[in-house]
Amino acid sequence: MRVAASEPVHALQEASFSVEPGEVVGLVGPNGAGKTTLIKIIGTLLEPTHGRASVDGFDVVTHSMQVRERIGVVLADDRGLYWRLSGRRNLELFGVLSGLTRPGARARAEALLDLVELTDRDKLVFGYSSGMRTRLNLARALLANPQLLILDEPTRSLDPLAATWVGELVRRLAGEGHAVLMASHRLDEVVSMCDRAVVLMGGEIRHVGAVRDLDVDGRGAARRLVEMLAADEPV
Amino acid sequence: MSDRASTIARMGALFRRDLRLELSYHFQFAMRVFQMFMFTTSLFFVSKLIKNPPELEPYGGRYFEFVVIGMIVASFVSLGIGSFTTSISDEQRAGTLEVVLGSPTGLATFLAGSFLKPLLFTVVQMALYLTTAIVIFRAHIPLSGLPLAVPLLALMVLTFCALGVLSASFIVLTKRGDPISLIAIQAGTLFAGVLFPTSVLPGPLEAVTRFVPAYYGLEGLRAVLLTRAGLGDVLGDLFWLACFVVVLVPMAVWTFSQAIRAARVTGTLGNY
Repeated sequence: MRVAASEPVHALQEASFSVEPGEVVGLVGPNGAGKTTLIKIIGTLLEPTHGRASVDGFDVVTHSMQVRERIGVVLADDRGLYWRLSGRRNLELFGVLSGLTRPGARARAEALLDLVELTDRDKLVFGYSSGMRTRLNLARALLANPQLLILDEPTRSLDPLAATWVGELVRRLAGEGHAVLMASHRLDEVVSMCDRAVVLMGGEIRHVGAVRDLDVDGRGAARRLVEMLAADEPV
Repeated sequence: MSDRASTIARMGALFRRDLRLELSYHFQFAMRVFQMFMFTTSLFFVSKLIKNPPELEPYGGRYFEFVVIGMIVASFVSLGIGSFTTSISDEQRAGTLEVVLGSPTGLATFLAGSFLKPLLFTVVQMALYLTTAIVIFRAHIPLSGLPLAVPLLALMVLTFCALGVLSASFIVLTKRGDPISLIAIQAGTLFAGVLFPTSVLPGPLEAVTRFVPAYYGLEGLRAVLLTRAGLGDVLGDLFWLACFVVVLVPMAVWTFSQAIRAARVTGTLGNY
């Protein structure tokens, strides 16, 4: 996958990086940096006014259908589910919309509910906790076995145990060959989960590099990320 | 799975979704039936005050039968215009519009699939209107005209779906308050002759009726259901409805795709 936007635009001005299969790339930056904009552009939910983004060689604007067949997206809020349907019914529906047959979607839903360890599968989503909805959203994004998994702050409203579980799942998915692009405000999480970090500020990429290379002075990679973000903060 | 089978499967999934969502509100459909029954009853008693006016002679002479057909058409108008705006609005509020449109399901499939449940419910509602009117209130509506009513209803549904999709284009961009559904529904009620024959309108206003698609649907439907008219008698109505379909359907699909594209550019697709 390659993402590039070279012409000046309001939300995202200079962003060029790639995510490879089996790799987890963390997108960090302050509020308003353009993380969600970038995620929505790659997720074909937002059209860039200039520049180009592609997934597996397919342009997100001109070949959006092919891109959608290759990605799974979890947006930052825990909406995006039908709250008056059960978790199982949600997955069966989105499975068919992703291109699976009805029996195929049923089987895939069952397997993914096991993967994300979701209990109360036949209860309406309305009664789910935030953590359960996050698990269900993750399962939904995985329905079509996407090459690229795009996660916008997947642990935002989770307790530490659930957040750790998400981290382990993401690493496991990357181990199975999925490329993962994950936006997060939690720098410790980015350091522990990601192979590379992309620092985005004011719509521009300020740094792209391996997380392990961030710890240049022994004070930790998370500390270095904090310094990068703070350096651009208004005084 | 072939493209066609996949499209049918997706539309089926959207239909089952809507049916399950509807049934999750246990009393909603029952209340709708009750409301329809009460309204038909009120129309029956109102019709007792209207005794054989000459304006109704071309329609068989009885007001109750006249207005029941009017209500059936009004249901189809609301179906076509309302179902898409309601669907888009609900999806925006639930945050599912971005997720559905971010899946490899085409816009046309999404719209068509979202239309199936309202269509089924409107056909059921039409059957209930007719059954209530005929069985309980002894309305004289010969059902022999039903086969000819089907193409008229089909063209009307397509016409109003097109208006509904145009209307939904506004909802995608403005989120609330689209002018098309308001104008189309009000124009339908006033100028199409839902509650009264258009011949009672003053000359210039009566001329406006010829630009309202529901007018042709109502004229045709009343002709086949109330006066046993044949195909030759409603060919003109079928022709004009077909003209509306030919013009409005491509215009609506193009406008809606442009609205979605504009929302994608401005980043407001999921806003509500």
